[in-house]
Amino acid sequence: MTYETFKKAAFDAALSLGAKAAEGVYTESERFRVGILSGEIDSYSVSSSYGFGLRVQVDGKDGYAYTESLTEPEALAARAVDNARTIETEDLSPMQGAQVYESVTDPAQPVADMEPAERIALAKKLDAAAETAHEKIARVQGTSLSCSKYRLHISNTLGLDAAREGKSSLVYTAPIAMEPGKDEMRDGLAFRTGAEALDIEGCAKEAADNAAAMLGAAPAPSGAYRILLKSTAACDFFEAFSGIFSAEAAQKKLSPLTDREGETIAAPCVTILDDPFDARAPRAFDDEGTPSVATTLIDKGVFTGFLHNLKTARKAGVASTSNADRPSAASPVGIAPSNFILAPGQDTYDALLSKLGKGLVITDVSGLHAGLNPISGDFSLLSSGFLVEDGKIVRPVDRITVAGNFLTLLKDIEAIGADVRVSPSGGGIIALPSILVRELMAAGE
Amino acid sequence: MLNKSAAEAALQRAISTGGDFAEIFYEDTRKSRISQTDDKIDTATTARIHGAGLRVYNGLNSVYVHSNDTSAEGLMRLAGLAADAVGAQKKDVKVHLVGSVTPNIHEVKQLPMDVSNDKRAKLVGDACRAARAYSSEIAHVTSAQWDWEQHVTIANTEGMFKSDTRVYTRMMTQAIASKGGENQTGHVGPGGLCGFEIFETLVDPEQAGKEAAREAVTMLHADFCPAGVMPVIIDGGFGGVIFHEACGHSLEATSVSKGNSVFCNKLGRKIAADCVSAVDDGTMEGEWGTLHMDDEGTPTRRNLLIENGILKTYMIDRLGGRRMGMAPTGSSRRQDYTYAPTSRMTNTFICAGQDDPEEMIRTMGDGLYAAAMGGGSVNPLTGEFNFAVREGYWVKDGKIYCPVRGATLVGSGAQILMNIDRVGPEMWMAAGMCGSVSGSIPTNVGQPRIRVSSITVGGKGGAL
Repeated sequence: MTYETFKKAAFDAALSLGAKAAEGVYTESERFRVGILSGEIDSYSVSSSYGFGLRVQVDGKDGYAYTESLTEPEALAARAVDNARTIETEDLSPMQGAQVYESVTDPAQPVADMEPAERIALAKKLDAAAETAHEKIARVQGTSLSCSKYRLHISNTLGLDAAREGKSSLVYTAPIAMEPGKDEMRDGLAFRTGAEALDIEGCAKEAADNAAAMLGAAPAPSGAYRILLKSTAACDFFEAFSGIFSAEAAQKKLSPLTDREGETIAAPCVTILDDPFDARAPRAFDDEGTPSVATTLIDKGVFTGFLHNLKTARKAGVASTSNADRPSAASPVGIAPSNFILAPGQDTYDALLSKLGKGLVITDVSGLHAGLNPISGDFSLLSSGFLVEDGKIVRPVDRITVAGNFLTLLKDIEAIGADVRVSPSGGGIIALPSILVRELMAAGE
Repeated sequence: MLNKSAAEAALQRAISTGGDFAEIFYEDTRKSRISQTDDKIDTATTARIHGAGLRVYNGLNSVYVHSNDTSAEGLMRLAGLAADAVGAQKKDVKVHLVGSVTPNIHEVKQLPMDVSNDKRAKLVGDACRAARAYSSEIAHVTSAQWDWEQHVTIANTEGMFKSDTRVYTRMMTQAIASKGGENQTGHVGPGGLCGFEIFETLVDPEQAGKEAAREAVTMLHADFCPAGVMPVIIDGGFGGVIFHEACGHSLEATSVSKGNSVFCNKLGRKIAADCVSAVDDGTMEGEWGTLHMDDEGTPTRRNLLIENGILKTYMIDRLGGRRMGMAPTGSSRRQDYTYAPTSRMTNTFICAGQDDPEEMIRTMGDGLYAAAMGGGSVNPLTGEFNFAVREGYWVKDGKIYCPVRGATLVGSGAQILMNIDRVGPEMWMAAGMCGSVSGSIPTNVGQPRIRVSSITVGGKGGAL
C-alpha cells in the first residue's frame, strides 16, 4: 500500500469508528553514517525508514497508534480509537486546521550533498587531523560522520496539510591524550554541524586541545566557588533544565516556575528566547502544524511565560506558542523548545576569566539525566574544568560535583559572554555563551 | 515472517563482493503503553515496529543497512546496498539456511497483547490511589504500565535460521511529595521477561504505589547530605547500577576490543578486592535482562566476570570477538533492527558474600548509607562515574542518624572495586534500561548490601 492509500483508509476507518477527526504524521528518512578507527572504516551504515503515526479525536480526547508497516490500516485505526476512549483527563486536545506558512531557508548542509566516497574521505581526514593536532595525542578513540535527509508530512481531516523536507549533518572526533610513559588517558571531543562540518582542522584541534588540557587533572578542595560555566557545559546544562518552561509541566504543577509569570526570576542580564525562525535551524510550523512564532521566556530577568501547544494553550486561554513536539511519529504531542537561545553579552571568554578572578571554570558536566531534579531545580553534577586564580588557569580539575539550584543560579549570574556555542537539540538548536555565576558548592577532595 | 528463500538470496547477494559473513535480523514488535497522572488516565499508545537490518563483515570492517521494507525485493535492495559498500570483488557463494527453532524456555502465561485497556487502567489506577492515600504530602503521582512483544528471526551465512519471541512487561510508579515549595520524588519500577502474570506473582501495584510514596515523603523530610570523602554502604537491588555503569561497561568488548577500557589486558589479574565476585547471567528465568538467545542467535549463558577479585572474562559479541581473537559470550544485543548489535549486559550483579549486613554499619563510624540509588553515568575510557543517591541516610558513629538528600557518589570503577571491604549474604536485583551504542535495552542490575571503605560524596550540606 502506498502512504496516501494507507492514510486515507486509516482516516476513513477512524471516522467510521466514531472519531471526530483524524491526523497522520508521516516521516521518511535516509541516514548515512561512517565510523573511522585507526584510519580505517570501522563501521558503515545506511538506512531508509518510514513511520506513520495516527492520532484520532474521540469526544475531545486524543488516541494514538503508530506503525512501520503500511498494512492493516483498519487495525491501526481501531487501536487509536480504543486508546482515545481509555483517556480520562478532561482537558481537550484540539487539532490544527488549514494554515498558511512563512517560507524559511534551511542552512547549507554540504556533507549531506556529498557522494559516499567523499564523505568517507572527509571522515578519514578528520581522524588523521585529530591524531596530529596536538603532540600529546596518543590515538583517536573514534571519529564519525553522519548525515540524513528527511521528509515530514502532517495532515488531518480538518484540512491541515503541512510538509517539509530537511537535511542534517554532523562530524565528530574523540582523540585520547596521554603523557609519555604514564598510564593516564584523557579523552576530548569536538563536533561540527551544518556548513561547519567542513571545518576539519578546527574540529580536530578543538578535540585534541580539550583532551590534552585535562592531563594531570585532579579534584579540587571542597567548598564554595565562583564559577564560570563555559559555553560547552552551559548548553548541556540549560538544555537539561529547558523543561521547566513547558506549560504542560506547569499545568501539572511539575515546574518550579508554576504561577510565577511576571516575577523576576533571573539577573537583569538574562534574556532567553525560543525562536523557531533562527537562521541556524529555521522551521515554519511545529509538530501540530501551528505556524511558528517567536516567544520570549525571560526578558531582562523577568519570567514572561511558558511554551505551549494547542492543548495547554486552550487550557490556559492563550494562543499556542508553536512548541508542540513529537520527537518521532510514534510519540504523543508534548512540548519542547524550537531553538533555545540565551541572548549573548559583551564579554569575551578571556574577559570572563578575568572577572572570575579566583574560582572554577566548568567545561563539562555529566550525568544530567540523573543528577538534576527538573521539578525542584536542584542539581548535583559530576563536572570537570580548571582551577583559576587571578584570572589565570592554574590546573585542570575533574571528579568534582557541583551542586546548587537552577533558579538560584539564574539570579546569581553576574555576566554573560559573547562566545556563543551552538549545539543540536531536538529538531533545532540550543545556543548559549559562557556564564559567570556568583557561587556554587563543589565537592572534591 | 522472514521468508527463508528470500533470506538465502539476500545473504548470497550480500557477500557476493568480498564480504566473509552476512546476517539478517528481522523484527516485528508490538508495543503498548498506558499512563495515569493523579486520578485520571492521560495517555494510551500502541506501536508496531517492523523492519530488517542486514550486516556484512569483511574482516574487521562491517557494514550495516536497515529498512522497513521486508519483502523479498526489499531485502535484495538492502543486500545490494551493503554489498556495494563492502567492495568490488565478484564471487559466487551458496547459502543454505537450516531452521533450528528451539523451544523457548521462558514461558509466557498471559500475553500482554491479549490484555484490554480496562485491565491496564486498573493497574495504574491502583498504584496511583495507594500512593495518594499514603500521605497528604503526596502532591502528584504518575504510574505507567508498558509492555512489548518482540518477534525476531536471525539468519546468517553460516546457515543459521532461528526465531525467538521476547515478551516484556513493566510498570513504573513515581510519587512526588511536596511541602512549602520543596519537592522530592520516589520511584518503583519492577519488570520482567514475562507476560501479565507478573501482576499476579511479583508485582502488587498498591504496594508499588505505597513504596514510591514512602520514599518521596522520607526524602522530603531529609537534610542535605554533607560532602566529602567517607565510607559508604550501598544496598542491593538498584545499588548494583554502580557496578553496571562503572565496571560492566568497561568489560564489554565494545570498549575493550578497541583499547578504550581501563580493564584492557587485565584478564587473570586482580582488579577488585578479594571479597568481590561478579556475574552477567542472561539465563535467569523471567528476569528483565534475560534472553533465550542473544541478537546474533548465540544462546545466552552465565558469564563469570570476576572471581574473588580476579578478572575472568569480558562480554563479547561476534565482531568484538573477531577483534580480540575470542569467542562470543552470548552478550550481543540491540534495541531493535535499526541498530547493529554489540556486546551488552543482561542481568549483571555482584555475587552474595558472607559479611553481616548490620556489622558493616556498626563499624563504619561516620558516613553515608545509600538505601536506594538513582541513575548515573560513566566515562568508559577512564571508568569515572557519578550516581545520584535516591534514598540516603547519614550514619553517625555506627548508627543510622537521619535521612539525607541530594547526595551523589563520584569515583572510578577501578578504584571502587578495590575499596569494597564488606559484601553481604543476600543478593537482589532491580530493572533498568541501559543506553549505549546499540540503543536502549532492558537490563537488570544487582548486588548484596556492600560497603566501600572510601568514596567521594557530593552534596550541599555542611556537618551534621
